[in-house]
Amino acid sequence: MVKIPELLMNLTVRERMLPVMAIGLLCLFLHSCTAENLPISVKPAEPKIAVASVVGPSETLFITLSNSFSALSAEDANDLSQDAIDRLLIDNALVILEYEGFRDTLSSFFDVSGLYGTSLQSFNDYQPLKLTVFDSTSSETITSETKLMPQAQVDSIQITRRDTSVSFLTDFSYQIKDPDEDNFYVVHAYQLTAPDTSEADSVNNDLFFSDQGFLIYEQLVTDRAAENGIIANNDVFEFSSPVDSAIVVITHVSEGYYRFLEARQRSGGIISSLANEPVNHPTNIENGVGYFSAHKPTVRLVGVD
Amino acid sequence: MIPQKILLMTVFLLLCANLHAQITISGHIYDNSEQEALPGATLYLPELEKGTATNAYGFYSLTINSSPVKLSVSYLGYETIDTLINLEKNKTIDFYLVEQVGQLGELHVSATNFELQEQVNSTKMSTVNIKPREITNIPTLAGEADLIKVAQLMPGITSGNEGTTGMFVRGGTDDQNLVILDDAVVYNLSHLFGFFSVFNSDAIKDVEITKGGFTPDHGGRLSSVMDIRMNDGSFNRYNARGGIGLLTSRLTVDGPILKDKMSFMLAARRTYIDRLFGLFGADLPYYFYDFNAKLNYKVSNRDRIYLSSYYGDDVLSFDEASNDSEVSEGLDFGFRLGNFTSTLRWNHIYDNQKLFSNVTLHQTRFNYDISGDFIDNSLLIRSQIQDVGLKADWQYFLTPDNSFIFGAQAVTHFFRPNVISTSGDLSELIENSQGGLIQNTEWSVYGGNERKLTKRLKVNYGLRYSLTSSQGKIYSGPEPRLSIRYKIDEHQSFKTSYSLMRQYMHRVSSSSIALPTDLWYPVTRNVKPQKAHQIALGYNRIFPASQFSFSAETYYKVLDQLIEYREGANLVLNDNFEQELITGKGNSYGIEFLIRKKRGSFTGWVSYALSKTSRNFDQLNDGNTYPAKFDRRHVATLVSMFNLNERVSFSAVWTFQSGARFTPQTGQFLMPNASLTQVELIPIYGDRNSTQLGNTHRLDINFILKPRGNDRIGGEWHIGAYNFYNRAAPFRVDIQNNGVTYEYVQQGLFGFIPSISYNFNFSSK
Repeated sequence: MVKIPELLMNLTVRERMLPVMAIGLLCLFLHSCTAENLPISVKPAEPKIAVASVVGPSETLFITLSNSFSALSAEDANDLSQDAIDRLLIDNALVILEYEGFRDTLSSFFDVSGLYGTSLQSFNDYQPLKLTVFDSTSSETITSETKLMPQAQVDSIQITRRDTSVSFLTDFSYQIKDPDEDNFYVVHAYQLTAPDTSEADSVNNDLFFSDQGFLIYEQLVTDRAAENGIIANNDVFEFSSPVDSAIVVITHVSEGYYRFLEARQRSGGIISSLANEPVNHPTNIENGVGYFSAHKPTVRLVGVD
Repeated sequence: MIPQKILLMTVFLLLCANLHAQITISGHIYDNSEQEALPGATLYLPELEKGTATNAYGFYSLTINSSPVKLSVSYLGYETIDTLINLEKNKTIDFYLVEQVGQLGELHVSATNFELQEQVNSTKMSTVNIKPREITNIPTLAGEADLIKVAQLMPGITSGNEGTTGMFVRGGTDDQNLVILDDAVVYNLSHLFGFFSVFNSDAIKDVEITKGGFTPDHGGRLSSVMDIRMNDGSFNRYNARGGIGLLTSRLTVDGPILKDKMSFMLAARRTYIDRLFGLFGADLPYYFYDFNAKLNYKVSNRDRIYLSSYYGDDVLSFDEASNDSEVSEGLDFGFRLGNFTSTLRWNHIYDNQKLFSNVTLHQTRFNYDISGDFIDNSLLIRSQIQDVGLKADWQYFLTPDNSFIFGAQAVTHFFRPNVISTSGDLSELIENSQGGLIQNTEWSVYGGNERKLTKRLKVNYGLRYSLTSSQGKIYSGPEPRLSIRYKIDEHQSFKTSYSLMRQYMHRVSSSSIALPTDLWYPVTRNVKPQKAHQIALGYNRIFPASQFSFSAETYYKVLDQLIEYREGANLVLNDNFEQELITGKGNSYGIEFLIRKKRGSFTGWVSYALSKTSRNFDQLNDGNTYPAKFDRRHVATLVSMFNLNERVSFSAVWTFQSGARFTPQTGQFLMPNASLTQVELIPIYGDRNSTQLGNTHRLDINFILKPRGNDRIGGEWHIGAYNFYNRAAPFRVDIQNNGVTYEYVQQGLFGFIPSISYNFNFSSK
């Protein structure tokens, strides 16, 4: 059977050029006939106060406040300059945490824009907390209620390097003692970029403020598979380079916050992105967006066997 | 007691006397040249104002009280036979209709068009027929004749995204359409990621689509029944026909194996997209092909056996050996998507010539394989559904005014979703899984009666009872069906219908776009059957002098236990995807108008549908009711086909559709990571499907030029254009950077696409 390239080789230059020109003209014709995109007007969302809460070293509750903004401002976080981020963060807001009849006015933390904090160390497990924020610039007030979730009762954590030459695949197993009620957990593992120390708290400080580690594993866990009050999970993840230890953070969270984190995970899915499918993030903020969560993470520095 | 006995005896004697006077004629109506049975052909007794139509197998039975009597036999596109029936006893009479050629249709319009009349007389409503010639002549994407694209031009049937074969019937979803090819269910309707249907137009004899007023012999889907019949093959001559188009070529041959006893039909089609891209230096190792085959054996005048089959595959295969494309470096990737159906049918006419039976044994298989190899790793994901079923139907034509249908059906489904096989390091990350075989059987029994109660009033009532069990749970229920016709006069009638449909299987998709990874999944302990009630009211009027018919129908449909997936669900590599499914409700209502002309040198239709479709799921849109994605408020279609002369025809289609719905991203906010070292953006969306894409309108045209030929050899050039005035049909909204700032943009898929193809036919003798 004569293949098309062989057939072309037998033709003169002019004969070869003719079909090429014809195909080129056809391509040009089809391209010029590509229908132009149509404009569309979409009503933008009203700016709202966005709340995020993170619990850091020494059980410090950090609350970040910012203004939500137009979907047409940036495609992803890399599009935002530091100036743009600073403009979105809310300074000088009145941030009040109420619990058992007490009112704690949170101050700006380390003078970082939009960051407010307080210690959770003296709080009891399942302590109801109410957050109220008043932003004098926008005159908006938001409120939110949550409960302080207790520490996860971590039984064991083990990280074992696989005997393989082509990857840094690692077996990861852990056990959590699971109380009777429905419980939800978040498990994070960080690979450290700085030399290891022997203290988890110290490394946790480095993670938070020095960016000396990065997230390599995040798993949302329910207690559906718990047996005899124990959640025992085995999984696999891969380090980017050989390491001797890793930081593992296991956090017992409320179902609402679990759903929020689940939506965040789902919205990054390839099918959602390809199909332009919406993934709404649940919120517990009245008149705002985001999620207010209070919890006490269990932080462990785990050696890699 | 004695008067009662006398009364009973008198009734019995009268009945016997009446029966003695009755004569039954029965038989088939065929195409004269091909001897293909013609379903839906009409027989009419003008003096008695009574008539009947052939069933799906071309069989009729007509019982008359007096003889001689005038009889007219007609079928769209064929010469009408007017004859005098003078019989003393029951007789089998087969009629052979001669096809009209050229513009003869206009000249041979009889004073009364019985086929048109049937639209007024019949209790059938919400039903449209499509003939192969319409499929061939109507312009479509890239000039490829496509049954589904023609169906989408009918009122009440909307397309999904532009150019795709998705069908959304009266607010239903794409998986709520029962599509049967010679009684075997076809699960995957499309080739080329949804852009072309799997049906080769040359292999199709007849298509009927029912959107409401369902008869009891069909069930298992909520929204529509698309009954497609393959050509039987000619008993007396060999034919070959085919076409060469821009993207595909096709060839069909048929003819006798034993003259007047046994015939065959073979059809094949393949795309050469892979070769076409190769010419441009691009590597797209994708192709599809399909085969249709049928064997038709006339065992006796009363028995006939059909064996038919369809096989089709979509294949994409990037591999290292293919060439030096970027994708092929160390990575082999591909998928294969395949349909297979086979049907064995036995038609039998009983001695009394009034009872007709059809027993069908059918099998369907649909599977997809996704495979990949990378260095020492390999991955295979497979999903499969297989059906084996038996259906037995009886039709009893007691009189022209009274007929019965009854039967039973059993279909066993074998589902094996998400079979995963891995090797190498990959097997440590992704577990092997056999997917778990799920098997269930759907049982149904049904019966119905169509009866003319008075000169004006005719009813068709029936009941279907369906049952299935899955994972120890039994689901069952009655499905009543009712259609009533009230005839105002010879040219107009009112019709109304009610039907309850149950659906015991669903297509589970990760997104609103059809992907090859979509799974068919049965009811289980947790996933309940879907259910729909539909009522419809219609008005029909015919204009025999001008050959026009007009219908207006309004409907209201309530859907329950609809299946959706949770936001962001991923069903691939997810063995526990039942957790991702949620159930809810929906409703749809609307009004549809259709003006159609089927005969003459100018044919076509104008349709308009106004409808509203909404959904309600507790877990979506905060539990608030929202518009369905393909809730297109206004849909209008103008289809026109002109025979300018015997050698030149022209057809044009103009369509207008309100834009589909989508959920816009309206805002976003900052969210720090768990160690406060980075931020990401969390999107904020508007209400679900709250925004409407731009309206779509498009003109497609097609010229048909027939070079001089003869009775045995012919051909025609089709020169056409899709989207003639090059307007984008938006199918999604993206946020794009225009160089200065970001903006919302509606993207269209296809612009102006010219096409050319050549169709040919040869016949022996």
